[in-house]
Amino acid sequence: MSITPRKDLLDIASLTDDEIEFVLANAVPFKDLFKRSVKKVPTLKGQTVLTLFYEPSTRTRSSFEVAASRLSADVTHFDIESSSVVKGESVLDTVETLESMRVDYIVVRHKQSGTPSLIAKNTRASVINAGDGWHAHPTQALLDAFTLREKFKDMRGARVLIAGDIQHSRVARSTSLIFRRLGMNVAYLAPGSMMPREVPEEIPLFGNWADALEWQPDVVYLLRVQSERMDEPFFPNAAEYHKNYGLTDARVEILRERGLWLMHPGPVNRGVEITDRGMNYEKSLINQQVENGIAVRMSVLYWLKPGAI
Amino acid sequence: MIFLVERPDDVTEGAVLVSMAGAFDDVDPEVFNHSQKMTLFFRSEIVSILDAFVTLDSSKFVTESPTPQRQLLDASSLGRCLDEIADAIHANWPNEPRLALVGVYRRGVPFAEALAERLRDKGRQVDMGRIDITQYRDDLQRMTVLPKLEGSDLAFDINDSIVILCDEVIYTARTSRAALEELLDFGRPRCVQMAALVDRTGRELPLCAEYAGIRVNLPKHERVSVRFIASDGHDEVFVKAWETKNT
Repeated sequence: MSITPRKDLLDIASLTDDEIEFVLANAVPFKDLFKRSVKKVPTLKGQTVLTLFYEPSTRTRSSFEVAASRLSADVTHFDIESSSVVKGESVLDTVETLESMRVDYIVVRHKQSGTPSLIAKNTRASVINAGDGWHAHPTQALLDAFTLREKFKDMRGARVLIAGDIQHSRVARSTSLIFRRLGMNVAYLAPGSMMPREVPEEIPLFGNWADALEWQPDVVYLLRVQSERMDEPFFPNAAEYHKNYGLTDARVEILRERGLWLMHPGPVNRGVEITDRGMNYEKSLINQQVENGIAVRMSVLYWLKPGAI
Repeated sequence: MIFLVERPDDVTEGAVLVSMAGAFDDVDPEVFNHSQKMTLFFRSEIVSILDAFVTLDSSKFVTESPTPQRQLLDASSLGRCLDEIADAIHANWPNEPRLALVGVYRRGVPFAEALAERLRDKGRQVDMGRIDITQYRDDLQRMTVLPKLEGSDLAFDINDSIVILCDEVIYTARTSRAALEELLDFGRPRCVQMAALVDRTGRELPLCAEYAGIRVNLPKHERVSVRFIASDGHDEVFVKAWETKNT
């Protein structure tokens, strides 16, 4: 299978089945690289990858940076002062600056949905959305799909329970989209205030663990509870959340008895959505998600081409 | 064939012409006009255009391209070439316990396997590997279609081993350069040599094959294709005009 390269990766919804397959399949040989003594290929030699993060991020940004380095690209980080309020105009001003620097790939994270798409329209460089508002986080979705593909011979029909703040989660949005595109079943578990209002009919909604576990999931995917939201009205506090919606030690035991896989996009809040025991659970895929993130992002960088349509 | 392309120095352009010809299965005038422009653009590349091309009569266009091809090696002579190469490797590395054959994807892989089978028949132990050079290509940024990666697999310790890189055809040596570079990222072999079933003149890089089945000198517009039983169901080497950009 061969494929025409694309300029940008902005969301999952705009990808064709072939493109998803191409990225996931190519991530395998990229992951194999990690076992070699030289974990690097010259695929993007001479290209510049720039990370432009308007929101703090540790793992996504470093994951992209490691991925780009392993492809022999030059990697630069554009420092945005976290305190400065970034307005529409200044984003485009920044893009103009980057355009003059002739960077080839821009990895963007922004709290405003649609910013990566705005940037993409104004630059020749390939733009990768590393998370925009509640909208999308396509490379997270691709790495989650890749991680489950390694575990299931046939993903079709597998059941994934996504638990947490679904409403405000771009991970939930992108990841459930790709899981469903790949033929998996997705259900949501969340307190009422964290449940999105419009959910496709095929996604069952649960308000408590007992009902959710009765749905017989194969995978439990925990979302990070954003502590900054804790103080808002209608949001449960940490202890309350943990007791009712978190993966308590007792629930870890249920997962173990049933042999369920556990996922989390990181970073985790111990004591809120997960416990130490949950982190040490033998069927946790959390570390594999991190490793696979690099392979999948390498595969994305290989596929995108600056200046393509 | 509707077009005869004399010197497709730039294979991309030659390929455009030929594939435009392929698009004439059922000719519509718009496509036709477009390709006339293409013809002008690539004028210097074209030797002649058949009369059929300057009319709009679709009946005169060839629907299936009957590209003439001629055989370089039939199954039995290909088999003899493999025997000779295996004999030469065997003689060159007597009593060598760390011999490895690494096939360059795609048809270098069945080529390496065919050699390994012969060496094993002589009682030799050989390690096997395969290399997909895509990540190491020097023309990736220019490619308009990206290949799916097959991945490389060297499941033996390459350090201090004797590696024979196997590619079915060596021509410009750009593939060999990429394969060699990738191989060396796996470790430090004691020695690397190259084996090619067909060694064709036309190097663009200073690399050579120690072992070759046949050595040929062909016009640039021709392409050597190798078929192996393991991958294609029969053994054959033939020559035909370039059709696609694949190298």
